[in-house]
Amino acid sequence: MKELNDQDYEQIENYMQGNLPTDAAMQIEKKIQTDPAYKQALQLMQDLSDLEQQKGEMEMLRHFGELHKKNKNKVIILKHRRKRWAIAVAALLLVLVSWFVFENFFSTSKPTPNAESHDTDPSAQPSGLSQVNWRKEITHEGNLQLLGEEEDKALEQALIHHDNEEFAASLPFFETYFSGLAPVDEDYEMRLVVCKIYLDIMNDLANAERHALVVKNSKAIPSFKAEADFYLGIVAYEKEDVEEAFKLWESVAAQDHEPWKSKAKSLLQ
Amino acid sequence: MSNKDANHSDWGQFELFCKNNRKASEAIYEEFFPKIKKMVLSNHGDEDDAWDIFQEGLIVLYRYCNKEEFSLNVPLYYFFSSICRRLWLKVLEKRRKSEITFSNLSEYKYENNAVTLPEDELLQAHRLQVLLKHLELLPVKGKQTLKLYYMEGKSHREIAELVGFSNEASAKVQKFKYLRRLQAMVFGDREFE
Repeated sequence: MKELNDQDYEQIENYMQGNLPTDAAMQIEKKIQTDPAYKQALQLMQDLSDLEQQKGEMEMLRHFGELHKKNKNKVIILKHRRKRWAIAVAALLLVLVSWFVFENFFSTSKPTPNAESHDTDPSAQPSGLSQVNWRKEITHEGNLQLLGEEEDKALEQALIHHDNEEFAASLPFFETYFSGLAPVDEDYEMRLVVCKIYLDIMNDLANAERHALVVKNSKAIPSFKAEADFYLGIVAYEKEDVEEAFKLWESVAAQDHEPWKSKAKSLLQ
Repeated sequence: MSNKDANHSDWGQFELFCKNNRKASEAIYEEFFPKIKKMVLSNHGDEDDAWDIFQEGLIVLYRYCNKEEFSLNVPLYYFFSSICRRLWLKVLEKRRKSEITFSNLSEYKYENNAVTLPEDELLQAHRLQVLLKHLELLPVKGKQTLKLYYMEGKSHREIAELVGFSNEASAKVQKFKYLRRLQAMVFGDREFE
């Protein structure tokens, strides 16, 4: 089927609006009957014009769309919270196992450079040098935990706003949360949630791209990277760089990460 | 709307839905969508199909709001699920799936007296849903341009000012560009008829 040019569209539009003289109108009618591209263009213009009469339906669908989006985000957030709990439990188990191993197998191990400082207060460290090493581990965990508490305040606020669909208000808290994260604790899942807000709610391509690029250029699991590429495709598309958008979506469609594979395929279609 | 006495007790919920009442919509979404999703997922569909069918079902249901002769004589969910089932069967027919087995048929015990839907109504709802889906996928400028011109009847000059095109001619060229893109997307959709 041939692709219509601007003049074809203009003629069809004039025909639809009744602006053509009889002869020209008859010519267009003939084309509409014989050429599927003409028929489709007219149908599309009429459907778009009819949308004005379907504002009630559109408003209703928009409302349900928001509910659906909110529900999907809740699932992501719940998953995220479960993941955080799992990480916390795993960290605790690791600490306990480390402590057990030190207690049972390394209690008479070689002294370490830090031993002296603890030797000055034997009552505080009765079990000797191995405890110093063990405490180093705990300090490390403690730092993470402190960071976690700070992050949690921002994240909690972000999630409350997010739950209430106050997406714009959630963004500063999300940004605070991300800025408090060490690179090793990077939260790709939330980055992608925020990327979506910038993209979909705020129309802020620059920030959407920034978050998606963090995920893309990270050591995130491939499905997150596929999701990031999917959004970067949208950013490129919004910037009217269709070639880049298609390249990104094609790469997503070639991978086996659902639902991004199907979504990219759908966009490519 | 119809004689109130003839209606099921869910009529109130339906009336609130017609008024785009937020709570009624939430209740409908939370109660109906998981069931429709289950129906679609267990019959060769995926989550996106379920959401598409749910939206089409809502469009059809919404059109009953303005029908004087309409009365709801079954629970709202049975009425709605019958609509969705019909819509999903049409999709499956199109996809030519050989095995179509709806589990839990008892769920549709009211179907015989629940829904008599004209085919063109289903088709219109389907076309509207596909059109809106693809319209949303256009870049923001494209969406705005087409909505302003076709829905709000703005001139090219006004569109140039509102959307940020350099002049009237540019707005016109861009409008056709997005129209061409939308045509390819809508008619390239395998579900479009």
